Amino acid sequence: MADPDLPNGSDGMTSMLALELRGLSKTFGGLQVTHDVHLGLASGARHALIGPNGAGKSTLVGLVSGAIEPDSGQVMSFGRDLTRLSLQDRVKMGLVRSFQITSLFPKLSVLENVQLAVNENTGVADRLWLGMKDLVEQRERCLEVLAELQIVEQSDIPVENLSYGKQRLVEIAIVLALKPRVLLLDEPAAGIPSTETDLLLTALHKLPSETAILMIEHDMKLVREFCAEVTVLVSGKVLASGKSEDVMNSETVRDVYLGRAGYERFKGVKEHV
Amino acid sequence: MKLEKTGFLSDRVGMIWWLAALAAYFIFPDYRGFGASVLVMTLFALSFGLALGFAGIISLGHAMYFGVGAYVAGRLALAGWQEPISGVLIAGFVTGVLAIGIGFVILRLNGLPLLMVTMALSVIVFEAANKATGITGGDDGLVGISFKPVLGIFNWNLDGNLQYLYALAWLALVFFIARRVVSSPYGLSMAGIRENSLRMSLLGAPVLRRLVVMYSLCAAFAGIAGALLTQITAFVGLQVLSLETSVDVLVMVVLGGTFSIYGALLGAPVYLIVKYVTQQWNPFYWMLVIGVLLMGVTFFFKGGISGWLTRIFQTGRTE
Repeated sequence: MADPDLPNGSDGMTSMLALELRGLSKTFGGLQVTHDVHLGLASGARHALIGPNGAGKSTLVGLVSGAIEPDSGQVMSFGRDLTRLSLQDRVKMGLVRSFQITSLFPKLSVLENVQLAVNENTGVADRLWLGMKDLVEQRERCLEVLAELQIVEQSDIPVENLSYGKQRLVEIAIVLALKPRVLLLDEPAAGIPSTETDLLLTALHKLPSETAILMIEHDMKLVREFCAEVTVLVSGKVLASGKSEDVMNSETVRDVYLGRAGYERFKGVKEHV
Repeated sequence: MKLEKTGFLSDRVGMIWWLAALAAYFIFPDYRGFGASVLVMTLFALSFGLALGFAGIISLGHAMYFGVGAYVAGRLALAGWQEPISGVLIAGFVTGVLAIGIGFVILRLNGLPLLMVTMALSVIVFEAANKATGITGGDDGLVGISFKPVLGIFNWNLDGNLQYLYALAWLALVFFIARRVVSSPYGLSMAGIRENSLRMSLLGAPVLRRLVVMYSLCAAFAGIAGALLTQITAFVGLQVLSLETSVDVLVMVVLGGTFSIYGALLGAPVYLIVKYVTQQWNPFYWMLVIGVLLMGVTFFFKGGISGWLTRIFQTGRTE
């Protein structure tokens, strides 16, 4: 497979990419779900991963986050090989994922949900003898994140009592609190009523500009508005990768994945914007 | 209502509870011996309540640590180490270390499999203790144990005065530690693990290690309780290791409520006092009374006695 399209500015300095996948492959039984995937994200990249159902997108996220072990290939971040690191160690390296299905701490309050992440991130979560009052810095960080996503007012409400859209915001708040350098967003808009997608989009734009983001998303509107680069995955292989415009306009991609309707939606939104 | 937010309940019931425990000393001078054993069992229940309600570690083998603590204190005394406070601390340390070893293996499980494994383990330990008569005294238990005065001043008497206050002081100390831990960042992370352990590990938390630390702490508290039982009764019997003791402590905690650190403090005395009184009334039917009580609380008091009290105290406040 040819070299992946590297994001602008990287100039072949592959070692300093925020996230680099080198020939990742994974077979389940006889089924090859990931086939020699190469991908590079520079710091600050906004990269969409799209593809039909069963293309192996979730498996790829699993491979990158460390939930699944690859048969071959490497996951690199800022020159470090993460392939053999555990989930936890990858998080500590700044590689963080969000979940397709909201995965929060339902009975805990919004603040506590975020506080859990902040405490882990600042290394105080192991302290048996600290009171919550001693965590001034952590509390400030929590409130900062909550304020950014405009959910301060809900901070004392158990997350199970929030609307689904708001829960997704808490999910993003947790992710933000972990100060990711590389962020995997697994279908952030899944299940959100269209009335709340704007909330989400605003929240996504608040993510730190230097964070490299790989986003799996079916919603072409969101992809168009948020991602400058797109990779299309089909049957575990990279079908096309590059600037959103180029990829979306490519004949193959239209034939294989977008279809006429999808392309219209992409174009329509583009013209609308 | 969450464990780390005992809130209103802690302020009021907490104070009332400790005052009542002190008052009981004066109001029922003839029952100080019994009272001391209630306090010890309360401490044991507290250790179990922390593991169950707080860390979500369900177990039918907690008596193992209680029993080991009791035997450690007994053997220490028989070997000539009769200073009581250090005896309790050593027993707690031994059980805590033991639980680290066991915890790293069994805490990979949860729910029913964990329940089964802890039960099996405790039955094995019980049988081993039964056979190892050289160490445990087998069926006869350890007798002829005596201890030096507490702090070198207070002598052990049969009236139970020292026993009661000594047990109360230990309970207060352990409760203070438990309360601190529950409201620490570590405590919050325990709540996180209980709620969604996979997500906790994806926040970068070493979940197994955290659980083991908590488990070890709870085991150390159980060991302390066991050692106290040895010291206040000057006897260790196999009963301390039995499955029945594990079940008893589970019942106490469920009765008191698993969602609050006060659950054990309420459940254990209620259970033991009701048991004591009904046994006096009719030695054959006490199980019936306890059974009805337990069913009543389970059906009508969500969250046990502590949950019920919380709702009473919280009327007029938002949940």
